[in-house]
Amino acid sequence: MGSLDLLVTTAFVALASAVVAVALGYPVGHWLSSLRRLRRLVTGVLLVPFLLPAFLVGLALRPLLGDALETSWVAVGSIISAHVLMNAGFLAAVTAASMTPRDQIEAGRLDGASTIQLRWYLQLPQQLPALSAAGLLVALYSATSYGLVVTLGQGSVRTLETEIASAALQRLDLPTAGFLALLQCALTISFFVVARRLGATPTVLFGEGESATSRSWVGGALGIGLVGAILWVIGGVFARAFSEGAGLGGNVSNLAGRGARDILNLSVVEALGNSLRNMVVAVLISLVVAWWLSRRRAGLLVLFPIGISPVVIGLVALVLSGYVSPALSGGWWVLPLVQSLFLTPLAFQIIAPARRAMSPDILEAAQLDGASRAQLFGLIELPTVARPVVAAAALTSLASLGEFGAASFLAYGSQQTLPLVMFRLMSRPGSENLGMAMAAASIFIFVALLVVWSLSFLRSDSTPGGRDGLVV
Amino acid sequence: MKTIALSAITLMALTGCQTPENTLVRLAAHDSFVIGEELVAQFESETGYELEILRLGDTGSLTNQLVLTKNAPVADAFFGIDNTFLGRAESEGVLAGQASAIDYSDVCFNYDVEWFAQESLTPPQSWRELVNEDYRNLTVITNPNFSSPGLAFLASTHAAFDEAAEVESFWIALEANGVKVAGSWEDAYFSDFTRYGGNHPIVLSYASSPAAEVLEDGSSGSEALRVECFRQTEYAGVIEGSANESGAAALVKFLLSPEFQASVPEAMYVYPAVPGIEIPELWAAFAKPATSTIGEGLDINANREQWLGDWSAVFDG
Repeated sequence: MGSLDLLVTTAFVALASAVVAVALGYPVGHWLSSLRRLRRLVTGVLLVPFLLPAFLVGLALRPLLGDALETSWVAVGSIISAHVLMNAGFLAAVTAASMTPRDQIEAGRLDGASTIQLRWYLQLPQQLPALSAAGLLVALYSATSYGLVVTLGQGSVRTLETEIASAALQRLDLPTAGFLALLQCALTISFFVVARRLGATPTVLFGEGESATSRSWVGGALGIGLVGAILWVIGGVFARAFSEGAGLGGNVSNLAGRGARDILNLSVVEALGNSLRNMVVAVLISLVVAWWLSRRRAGLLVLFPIGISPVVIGLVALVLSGYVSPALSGGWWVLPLVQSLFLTPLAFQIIAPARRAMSPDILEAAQLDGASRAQLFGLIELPTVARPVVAAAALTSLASLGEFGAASFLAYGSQQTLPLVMFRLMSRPGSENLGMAMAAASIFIFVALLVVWSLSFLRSDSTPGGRDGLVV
Repeated sequence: MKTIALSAITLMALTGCQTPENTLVRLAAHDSFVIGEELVAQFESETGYELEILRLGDTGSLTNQLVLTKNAPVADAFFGIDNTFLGRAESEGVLAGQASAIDYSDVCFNYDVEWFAQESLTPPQSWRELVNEDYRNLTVITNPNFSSPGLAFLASTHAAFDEAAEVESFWIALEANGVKVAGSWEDAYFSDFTRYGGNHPIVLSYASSPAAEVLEDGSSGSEALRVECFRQTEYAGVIEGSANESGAAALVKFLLSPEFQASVPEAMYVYPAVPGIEIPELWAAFAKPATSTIGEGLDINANREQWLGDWSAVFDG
């Protein structure tokens, strides 16, 4: 297969995923913002697949599609659907966070505008920058979802990433792999150009937003359908945690061990420990870098690292290992360092708009009164944007816990992380190992839901406009 | 990418490189390598060496890294390059002397015993029968481009037939008989195999897999088709130009010892390569190795690209 075909397939899958995710997420976001009591819970559910390792989503979807995956357009369609399932909820949260202020809508109404006119001429133009930035994020994720492409495409859907992997690891042909990796980078850059044309700017990705004034049937139906599909995927994981191996209790208590016949290099609990340690380091780095970037003229380019394929990272790690001592390249801190590359853009998206919204007058006044830099930071800036910072910390924590691609290349042996261990347990026959994998996945999903949901109770009293923070 | 390279280089400069002492033996292994703590202790007390294990990804990635680092070896010994990659390691001059076979596993089809009993269908005896009408739409294999059992089965077909045309017509017939191709072993086994809720009662796996599928009443849930299987043999050896060649040789000798050999079935789902080692009871009953194997004489390294290209022409075309 020629490189051009690979480029076209990869670009098509990524763009189609982004367009469909936006088309679905936009009306669902309107529905979401019209919810009252259930809004927090529903947002939590909608965000969970965004944070799940892709192989779990693939495993849940495969049985549903069965032999239909043999047809190549069905396989491509199912990959796009999986991307949409993972990202549409995220788009909905973005839409809900960027709703037009109610007084503007009411003013439009008074002037005789219809609902469609309001959406088209008033709301959409205001939301377009946020939506295209989020759409860019989805396109970047969808161009780098190797595991999902192999699982749902069954190896017959070829993308740049699958060919990089098979050139580097099966044919041991590093020059070809390197050339394809360059193409992958070129594709990422062209996505940025397109997003820039659409006027994308990093805008509040999560926020309280205004409540929608009207409910739409379409948004409601799509929203309920999306929530249903997500619950179905999660339910499949829970059901297997119950039915496989030693049953739920047995599977969970087995997590303290190393799997049936000790097939793991470490216990699942130890793997969780590694994941938590990596998470703390990666989140701290990302928050500090995002904070630093948020006052600088950093635009869309901050999102760039999300477009770096984990397969490309693996390739670079492989080549570097030829020149760097393994004591160095094999250190546990390499993974959180690389993860913070992907997490910084997420943290930036949440922190920067809030920090920029702060009035510089307050800071200047304090400075005139003799406040030191440390006092400015500790007493004024940090408390003011505390909630977005906590929200950014939570989202990056979950993204770090669920990160699979870079970890699979950079965390070996006793340094393996929770998602790697889930996958490893599934790579040996036997119901006991599968049951443990699903029990570990269930715990992961439960923790993710709990964190997203409990964060929604943090109120924003001090932030200007009340339009920042992860909530819901 | 630049950021990663730069930070790695900076950090390298900051920390400096570790110089191994003569008592240190470094083993480069793939990620599936498992050795018990008591065995490590035994090796260290018997030989006076200290063992350090580096895990370098899967077999392909391990081989690649040893080739890339051959001028400044990262380890003294390696474990886990198999017969599909050994030719590459040899031709690149990674090995000092001969590699020693440590363990093997047989890539065989497994079938769901209960499913065939319920359907009153006679299970196949060999993979050659999978093109028969009786077994239409029943089989799932893995894509040889991404999966090592898939490549092993592709190699089996090249070993089994004399002419390339016969191999091609077998694959065309298999495709026409509705064989399903999964992206990975995990997908095939835990998603397509009938024992895990799929609708294919015949799955490409290993001769040892049935040991993990013993039912509560003690009967076997699955069985392997044990003829004409492909034997994947994993090797260990001393790395050319390493800092501690004598320590590496002592380690390879230890990997061939009865104590380590007896541990490999449970630890890695493979059979000991040294003859005369007793295998666990469960394995003796449910996971016997293949009765016949083929493909040992193939030059996989030289043919891989051609075979994968021909295979893809049948399935992707």
